[in-house]
Amino acid sequence: MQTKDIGFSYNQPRVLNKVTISIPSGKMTTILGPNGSGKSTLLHVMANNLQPETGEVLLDNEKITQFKPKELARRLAVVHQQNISPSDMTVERLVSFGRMPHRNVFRNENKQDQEAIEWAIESTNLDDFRNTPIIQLSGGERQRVWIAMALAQKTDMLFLDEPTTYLDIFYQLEILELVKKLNRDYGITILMVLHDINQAIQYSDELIVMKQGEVYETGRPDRIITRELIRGVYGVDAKVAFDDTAGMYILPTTLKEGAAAT
Amino acid sequence: MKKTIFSFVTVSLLLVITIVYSAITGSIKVGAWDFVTGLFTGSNEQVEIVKDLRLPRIIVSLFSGAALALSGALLQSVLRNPLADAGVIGVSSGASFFSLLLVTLLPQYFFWTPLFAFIGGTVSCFLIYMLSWKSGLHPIRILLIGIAINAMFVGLTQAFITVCSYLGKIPDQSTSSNLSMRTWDDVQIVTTYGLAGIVLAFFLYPWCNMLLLQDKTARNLGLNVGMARIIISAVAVLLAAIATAVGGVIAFIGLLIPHISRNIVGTDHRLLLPFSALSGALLILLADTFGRTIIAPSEIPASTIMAIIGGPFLIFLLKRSDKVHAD
Repeated sequence: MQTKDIGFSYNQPRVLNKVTISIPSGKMTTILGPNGSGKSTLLHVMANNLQPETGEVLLDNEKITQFKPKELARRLAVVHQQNISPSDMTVERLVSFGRMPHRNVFRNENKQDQEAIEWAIESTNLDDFRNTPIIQLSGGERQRVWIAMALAQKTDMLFLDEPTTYLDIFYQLEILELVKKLNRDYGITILMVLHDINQAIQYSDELIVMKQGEVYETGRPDRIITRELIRGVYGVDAKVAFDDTAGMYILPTTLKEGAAAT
Repeated sequence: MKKTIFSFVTVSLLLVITIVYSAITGSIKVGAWDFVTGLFTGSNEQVEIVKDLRLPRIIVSLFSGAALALSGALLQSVLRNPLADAGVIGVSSGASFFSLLLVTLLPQYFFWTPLFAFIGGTVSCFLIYMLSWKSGLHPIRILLIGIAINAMFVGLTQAFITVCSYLGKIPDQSTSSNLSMRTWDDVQIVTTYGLAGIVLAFFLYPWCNMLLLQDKTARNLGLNVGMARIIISAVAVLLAAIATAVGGVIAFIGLLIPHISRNIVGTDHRLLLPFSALSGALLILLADTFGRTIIAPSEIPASTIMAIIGGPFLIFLLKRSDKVHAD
């Protein structure tokens, strides 16, 4: 998937400006950047949830606006940051919503649907919660349910908007490990927005670093994450170090001289 | 699942019992068995009178109730608002005003009343959307705008009636909210348009279910959210308009019934819509039967009874929604 010269604004000023990126198939790509850098907006534009003012988003060299909604939903699934569901919604019922793009009014659930739902529930380890209302689950379990729904869509691409925000560190790692497994085992192309730089370094094949609505840098984490980049993007001085097991990581030390939060 | 089947069977049985009870009770009394046999043989004179006078009224009540309850369930789904009801937010009064215009000015087009009611309901619905859409739909905002629209159309209706009586043109009774004096003509209207509306509504259940989730989620599941909204609203307005054209404005039923139904069969619209239709039919028929028998030969209109039950219920829902928003 690629974007060409994406520009977007809610009002003035521009939230995205001339964003041209490409998402490599079969890889895990993370959009990283400070608050207000436009990273979530970019994800929504790429998911066809927001219409860009300029530029276009291409999937297999075809504009995503040309796809029928259902057709796009069979190619691309999205896990949003905050989700709402009615109080009597059970895990299995929600996951079965993921089959909607494959169904129509005149076709009931078939074997293929059931298999996809089973697979989604098993891959996200939700077997024990099938008939539990989502409202009774913990934050981490809930996030897995929404991921399961997206999986039931059986798409080759999965977008996640800050999937670890609001979660305890245990669930954060659990979710990221799950996403990694989906990528490695099933070859699903991942595009996610993350807030935590170290998690982004650890779990991404490619990084897209944004600042003030523009792409600041793209590339492999170990090639692009430097002291200068952190300083330039976040206005923070940080130590870039290596650990034998975790690999590369950063440790913020001080605010950049004279820097104000952007 | 067992509980769901039980609920459906119970409400259907109650409906049948109420229909028979309503048919045999009133100024002319018939035995239940005489009524059932008389219906098929046509030999009992009393039953023939009941057939002419009471049966149309019962059928109109049933369809109005089902249509209004469905309309409420659809509006609540599309506006994401448990407080939406065609009678409360002005869809019915818009429909009522427009059908009054038609009946008074062009009485020869009587059969087209539902069409005019539909246009009126659409005008209301459009105004509500336009005025309350502020980067999303806020439940209380919709309710407030809706109440204002309702007040406006009620005012217009009353002004129109006053002007007409001044000019010596008395508007047809059918526009006041009352189910009495219904004829087989009304039955024909309500079954022709009503059945179409009810069937359409049932086909919309997957969309209503997807709208249980947020817009962005529904969109990423392949739903054309804007289009689904327009179509569901149109069917909701159609249902409310038919009921209003024949039975007058009856508020609160679309509020009460879907809410109670949700508590009994859950939020899955595949069950919620049919259950709401059955319960809505039951409630209006009960209200109408009660209203015409309690102080016979005088009558309390079903709409009045619904307002007496519905008002406190709306307050109850508002108090509860405060709690939900505080979470």
